[in-house]
Amino acid sequence: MSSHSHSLIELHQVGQSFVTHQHSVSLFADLTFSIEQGHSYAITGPSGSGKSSLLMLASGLEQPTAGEVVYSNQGHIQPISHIRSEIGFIFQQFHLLPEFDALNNVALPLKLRGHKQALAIAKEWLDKVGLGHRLKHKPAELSGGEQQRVAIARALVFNPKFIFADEPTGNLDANSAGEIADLLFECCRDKGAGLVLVTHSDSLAQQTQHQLRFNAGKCERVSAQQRAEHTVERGSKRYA
Amino acid sequence: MHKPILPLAWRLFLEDGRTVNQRVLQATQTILMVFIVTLTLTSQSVQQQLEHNMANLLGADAVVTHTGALSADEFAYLQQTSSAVIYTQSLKTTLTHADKWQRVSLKAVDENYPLQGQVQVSNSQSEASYSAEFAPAPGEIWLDPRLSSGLAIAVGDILTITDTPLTVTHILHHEPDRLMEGHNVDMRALVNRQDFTQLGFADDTIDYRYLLNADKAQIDQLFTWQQQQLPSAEFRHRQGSHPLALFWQRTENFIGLASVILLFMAAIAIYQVSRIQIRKEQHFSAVCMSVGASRFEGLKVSIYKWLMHIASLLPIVLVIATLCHFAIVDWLSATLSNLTWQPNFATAGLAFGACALLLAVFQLPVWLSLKQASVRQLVFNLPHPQRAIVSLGSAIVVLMVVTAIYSDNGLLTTMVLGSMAACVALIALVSWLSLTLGEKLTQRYSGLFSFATFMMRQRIVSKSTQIMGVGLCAFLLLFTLMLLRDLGNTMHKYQRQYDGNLFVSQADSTQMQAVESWVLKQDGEMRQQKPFMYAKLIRVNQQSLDEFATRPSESLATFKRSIRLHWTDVVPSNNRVINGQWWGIAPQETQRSQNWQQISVEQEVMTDIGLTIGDQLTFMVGEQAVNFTIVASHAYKSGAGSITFWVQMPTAAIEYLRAPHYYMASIETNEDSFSTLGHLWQQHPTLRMVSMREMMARFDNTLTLVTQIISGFAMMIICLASIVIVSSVLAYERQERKKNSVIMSFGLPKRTCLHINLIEWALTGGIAASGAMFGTWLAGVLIYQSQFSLPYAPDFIWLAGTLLVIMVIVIAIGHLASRNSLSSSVRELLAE
Repeated sequence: MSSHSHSLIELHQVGQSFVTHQHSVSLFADLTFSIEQGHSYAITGPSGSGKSSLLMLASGLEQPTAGEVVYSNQGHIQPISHIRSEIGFIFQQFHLLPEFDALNNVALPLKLRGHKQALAIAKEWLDKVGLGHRLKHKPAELSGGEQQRVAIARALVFNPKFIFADEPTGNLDANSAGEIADLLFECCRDKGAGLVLVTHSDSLAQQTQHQLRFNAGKCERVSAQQRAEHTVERGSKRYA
Repeated sequence: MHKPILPLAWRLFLEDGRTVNQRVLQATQTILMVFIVTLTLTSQSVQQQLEHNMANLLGADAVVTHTGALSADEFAYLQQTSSAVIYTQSLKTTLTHADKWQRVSLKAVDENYPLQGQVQVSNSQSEASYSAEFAPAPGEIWLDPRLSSGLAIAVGDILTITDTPLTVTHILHHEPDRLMEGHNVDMRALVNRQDFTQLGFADDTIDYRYLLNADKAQIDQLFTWQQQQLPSAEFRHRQGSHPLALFWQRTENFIGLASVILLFMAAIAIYQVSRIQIRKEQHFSAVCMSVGASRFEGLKVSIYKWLMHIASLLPIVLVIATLCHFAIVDWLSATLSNLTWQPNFATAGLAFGACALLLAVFQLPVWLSLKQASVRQLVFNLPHPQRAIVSLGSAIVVLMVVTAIYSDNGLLTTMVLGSMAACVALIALVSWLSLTLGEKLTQRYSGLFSFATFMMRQRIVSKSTQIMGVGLCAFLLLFTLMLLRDLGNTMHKYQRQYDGNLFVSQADSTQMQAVESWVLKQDGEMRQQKPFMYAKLIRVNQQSLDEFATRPSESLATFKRSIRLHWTDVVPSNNRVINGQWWGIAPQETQRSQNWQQISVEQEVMTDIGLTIGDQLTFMVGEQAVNFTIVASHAYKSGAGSITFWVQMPTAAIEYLRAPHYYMASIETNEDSFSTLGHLWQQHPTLRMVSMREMMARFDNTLTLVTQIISGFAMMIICLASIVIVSSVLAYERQERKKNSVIMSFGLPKRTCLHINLIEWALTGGIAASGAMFGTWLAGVLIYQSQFSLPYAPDFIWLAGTLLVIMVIVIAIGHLASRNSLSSSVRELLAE
């Protein structure tokens, strides 16, 4: 575990609602939990239940309509905006820049920060995600799985404290999804980054240490026992 | 069959109207159409006015104009072939009164004048005019109001011309036969023929106009006779074209040619917008096909929708063009009297239709792209192929059509399009070089600048287009601004430096001697003195000039009159030979006599008329028709005086030509001595001499006119430049938003995107401005030299200052246009 392990994102009694056609719709309310650096979290639930909104709030990209989201570093409480530069994202659609080759896509966050060794570090990362032989390939020349590997390398190359991933395997076939998930967890573990991912995939969610589930308008923490039962249930179904 | 498609097209048309890219497209189309429709309407008004003038200001059914009197036989023929004939004599002279002088067109008439129409006069400057039932009696002179004011002379005063006293008895307001006198702004005076004869002007300096009453058959007969027997004369009749028609045609052509620039810029804007359109329309077509519609139906919807867009522009274009037409006619009426505004919706509609056809060519790439729309595209989310070559092809077709319609002068067309093409090529090259070098040099470095150059290099096609649009606008603006500024300055400086302050445009030997002794007395200096004789080009390779050269041009218009034929054996120091072989001084008498029928013609004239080395030109010199062979072409070279001639022949030729010799000269003298010029003119009223001060005043008036035209044109260019910037931003807005969102997803603040955006626009502005600067220099060297015969000496500090301003404006407009893409967020990426 890295030295960042005392960093936390804390959500205190957070609620999110919006008004549509003069009706207030509440996505979730009174949600309190912490995201600890070095740990992994899954947010699951049906479409439209508020998973992505929670991701936005937790990453500080949006303000909650109730409660607050703060960053706690060694016990010092700071606004979430304080950690904004140390958060990385991974998307379902990868969102690599089509004009750049794999190497430059990965080097981009470092280059923008003025890092002198940007290309060398990017190359190391591409080697790490198994694309050392695809450095000069443009996104259009890479498969979905390869693109997501590049995206993972790009998200982690600047050593963020937290990674937020939205359906990172949603666009991939089962084999690629498994490989990508393993890679994602491994990289986050190696770098000591906190990982928060939104997913529909139970198997992916099961690989995380913590899980929040949206269900019938509520967001609840799934206990270790529930997760274990769910795994058995899934297993029995699979082999039934 | 059309029923279900039309409402769908209507619905989509309404939806499209709300999008920014459609508004940009409509603005571009509107500007283009307004320009062309206004030009057509104005042209129509002027041509109608000229036709009206032709019918009302000829003062006769037909007019024969000739320098020098016709022979008795020729006059007898005119009498036989008409029901009535009278003649007037006129020449350019300088009238003096006290210490004032004015250059005038002096006309002599007899008691039969006018043949048709009425002369309008008044008894004093302040009184109303009335129709005179009589002509000036011997001893009388009638002056036009401006001349009367210019000479500070009133009715009742005496005006002396070469010792002949004439009494001013009336103020002359209108002569019914003015049309044939060139529509110039010369001041005018009318005298009795008896007095005119007494003044003793040389006959070959006098223009004789024979006014005839004739029917159509007689006119046809006279025309044939003139062509065969009197080719050096000019023949005009009511059914023919106005002398100014050709000039106006040329003006219209020049403005039309300038519209190529507007079209080129519009093509850039339309190309950018069509990228978005193609994506949308292909998607729509693919969706239609996925629900069972045919590809053709998708195309039909697209065509109907486009027609609806064009139809929606009709009222806007008509209203704006009509207002512009009104304003231009009002402005032109100061120059072309009696020009009145009348709405002309039929012409406007036709011009609109022609513009719509041109715009349809621009739309072709969108329609052709629908061929590639397929359901497969939707299933696999395939990229939408861009048809850059088709777009380029369409733009070239439109530009070629417009160039072909308006081009009448090879050299001018080459220069306008050549400078533009050079500028475009240059900007493309500068863009490619700077972005490639920028990327190569900075790829090992990190930071926003290297990222910006990298991004720009990656999007080199779109960036080059953007830079080209901006660069071309900057070039045009810069060049026109610089032209206006430099032309004035350089003219003043240059003329003073090389040509002195007094210019003799025509003096016979006696007059020249008088001028020389005057210069000596005033302690002045004769800078240049060159002899010439008048000659009129009547045939080229045995064809009449009208048959040989059918396209209107400045050179052709000038060749319709007598031109100055200069003789010299050596190439003048202010000329250089372009093609062919200049004659030398032949050592033997026999060689001289054999080789005198050769000439050199100025290169621009050669290009305009379509002449080549070896062509045979037949000139009417005096009473002789003389053949010359073109053996060389020459061009003006600055630095050794500005008196240069279009046509030059060997000195040996003058032995064989019987025509009066004249001189052109330039003099530098103390301006205080100008007060004694009156005496010189008093003695030699036909001496054509003008002070540089007067010339500059005339030049300033022209410059003011040109400034007004260019300012109007510049406004259109600025509008289109802004549209090019906005359209290029719109075309890549999606990619820009994504790029900005991705940058923010790295935990970088929005500020970073803003900085990158500013760097990109600064680079765009910088490269475009450098290209524009070079283009301006190139055009300056080419056009200053050939069109204005001026050396080009740019003021680099002024240029740099202007470019800085342009860059700031580009950054500001670019940044404003990019605001939308800067408002992107990471959420958008999550939402996709």
